[in-house]
Amino acid sequence: MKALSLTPLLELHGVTCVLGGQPVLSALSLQVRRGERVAIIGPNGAGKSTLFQVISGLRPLRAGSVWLNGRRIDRLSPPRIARAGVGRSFQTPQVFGQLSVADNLRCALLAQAGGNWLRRLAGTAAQERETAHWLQALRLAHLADARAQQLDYASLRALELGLALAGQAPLLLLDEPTAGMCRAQAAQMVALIQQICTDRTLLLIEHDLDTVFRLATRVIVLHHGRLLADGAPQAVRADARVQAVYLGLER
Amino acid sequence: MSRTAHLQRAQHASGPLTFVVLVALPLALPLHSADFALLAQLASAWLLLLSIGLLHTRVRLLSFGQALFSGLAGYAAAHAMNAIAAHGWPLPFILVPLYGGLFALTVALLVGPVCVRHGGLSFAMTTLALGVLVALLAPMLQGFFGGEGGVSTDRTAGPTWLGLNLLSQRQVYGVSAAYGLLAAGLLRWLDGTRLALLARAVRDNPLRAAACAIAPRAVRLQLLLVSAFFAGLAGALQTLQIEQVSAGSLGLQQSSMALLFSLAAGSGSAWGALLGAGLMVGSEVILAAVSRAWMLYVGLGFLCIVIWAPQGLSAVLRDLLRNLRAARQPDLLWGLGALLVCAALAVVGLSSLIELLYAVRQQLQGDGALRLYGFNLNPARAEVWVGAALLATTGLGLGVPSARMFAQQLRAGELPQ
Repeated sequence: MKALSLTPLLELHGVTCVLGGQPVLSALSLQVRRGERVAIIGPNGAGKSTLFQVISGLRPLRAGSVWLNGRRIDRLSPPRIARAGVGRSFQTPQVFGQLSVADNLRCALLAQAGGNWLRRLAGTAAQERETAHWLQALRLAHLADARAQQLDYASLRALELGLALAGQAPLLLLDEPTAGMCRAQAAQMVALIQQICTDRTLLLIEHDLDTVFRLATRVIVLHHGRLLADGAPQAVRADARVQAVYLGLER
Repeated sequence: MSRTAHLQRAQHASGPLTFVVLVALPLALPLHSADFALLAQLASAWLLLLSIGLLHTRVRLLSFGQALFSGLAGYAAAHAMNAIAAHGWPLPFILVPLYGGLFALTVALLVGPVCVRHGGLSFAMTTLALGVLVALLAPMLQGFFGGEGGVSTDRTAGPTWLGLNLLSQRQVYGVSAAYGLLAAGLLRWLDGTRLALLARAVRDNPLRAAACAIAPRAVRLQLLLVSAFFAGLAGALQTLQIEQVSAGSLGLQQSSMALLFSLAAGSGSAWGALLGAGLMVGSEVILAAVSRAWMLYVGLGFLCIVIWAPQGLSAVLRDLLRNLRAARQPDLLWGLGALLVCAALAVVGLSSLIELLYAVRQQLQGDGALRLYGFNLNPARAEVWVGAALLATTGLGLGVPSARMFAQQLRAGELPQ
């Protein structure tokens, strides 16, 4: 396994987010180092998805700050946060349904062209090579010309993973990447993530504990918008408070 | 290569050529000055509809304020022409539309960031508000807008360039058509670029686009700039054609009529925009000359299109041509023939009823005769009303099922994708 960097890639300082008058995240602080694979778990309503919304700029903060690679990002718009280096998937797969699979990936790759509008307009041979590379890596080459909305669920999830990865964002937020999949499909997805996310920092929300313990090097448990536990998977599994609130032993 | 691929390639290659020939053809014909004036009007309407279709079909933005860009560009063109003539600058007037396009683009650069903040309804309402705002400001800012009379100019006061002095309507049409072709070519090129791909992505899923670092606002703004440029060309060409621009060109009616015909024809493509422009000029000039109720006919026609051809008339024609080329539905022409006969009956019957009502209501004809479709009709006689009602009900009664049958035939003959 790659050595972890000591400098944090992502930092949250006292993040508070309120929805409908109720605090969903309360003074949450955490750090994620470069190269880590962190699973966020917690019961429904713990604030996991809201945490992703906050990091990717889709929800405003009531208090606190979010930093990526030493740069404050919580005041940026979602596209600028994505450009700063945050790629993500959603709980319900979000792709460009009317576009072909290859065009979906081309769109994600175009973000790399940055502000150079001439490059954006013309497209480059390098982008075409990269599109072909990602189609192969995602095992979607045979579906390159198919419309994304015609894909089966597992392929749709794989494409969405590709969209999050193709932009070369160093931080990936994966929101329940195996949700709705059968065991075999989930195992394939985990293998795919392990295979193609090697050089990225991963933050994932997952309910399936098998997936969590296979993918994550660190587990964070949220409860009522607060940090309940944070540590290695085995240590978290053994934590009595976690067992009480999350693993079904709460009385 | 499959037959479909051959067809697509042939269409790809022959489309632009047919277009150039079609647009250039009138120049070779011995037409009257009035015909060329009408054709020039058609060319500028084509540009205006292209500008609306560009926004609507590429990024699903409905602009209710397109006359803001074309109207302001019209004024800018008039002032530019007057300044060139007054100072004797050696600038040919055939370049004035370009100036108008760039002026409209600058306006879009100023107001665009506000309009494109959100898509959908928000964009429609913002453009509507801006259009109304400028139309209301126009009478107050007399220096630029020239008050009620607007601004007049003389297109022949400029220097002659390449033998073009814009004295004849034929020359004006030639210049207008050339700008139309330029815009259609630009649009065709734009559709092949990555910007068009990003626009489709933004239209499809703005949330995913933002998560892929594609800023929906920036993409919308870029297309709005191109669209405003086209609208600016249209507005400046109109000034060149009629040598006059007034506050009416900025008004809500101008915007809404253009939008209505754009939607009715489905003006995403150059052909669709041309069809829409034909319908618009046909309604505003020809239909308006023969009937006071022309707005009512336009409204009814639009209603029918929304109900029976929501993708626009150009989509119906495209499907029809595709089916005929593939020769998959031999009965299609019979179906079309039946539909056209029924539609003609319904149109004759309904329009007769409407004209009779107008004649009675406005007491224009009194008990005298109303001349319609070559017949003298007397609104005071009951059999005239009964006959018209009979025609209308027969046309509609048979037309609705035959339209449904025709639509089924079109769908059944669709080529596999």
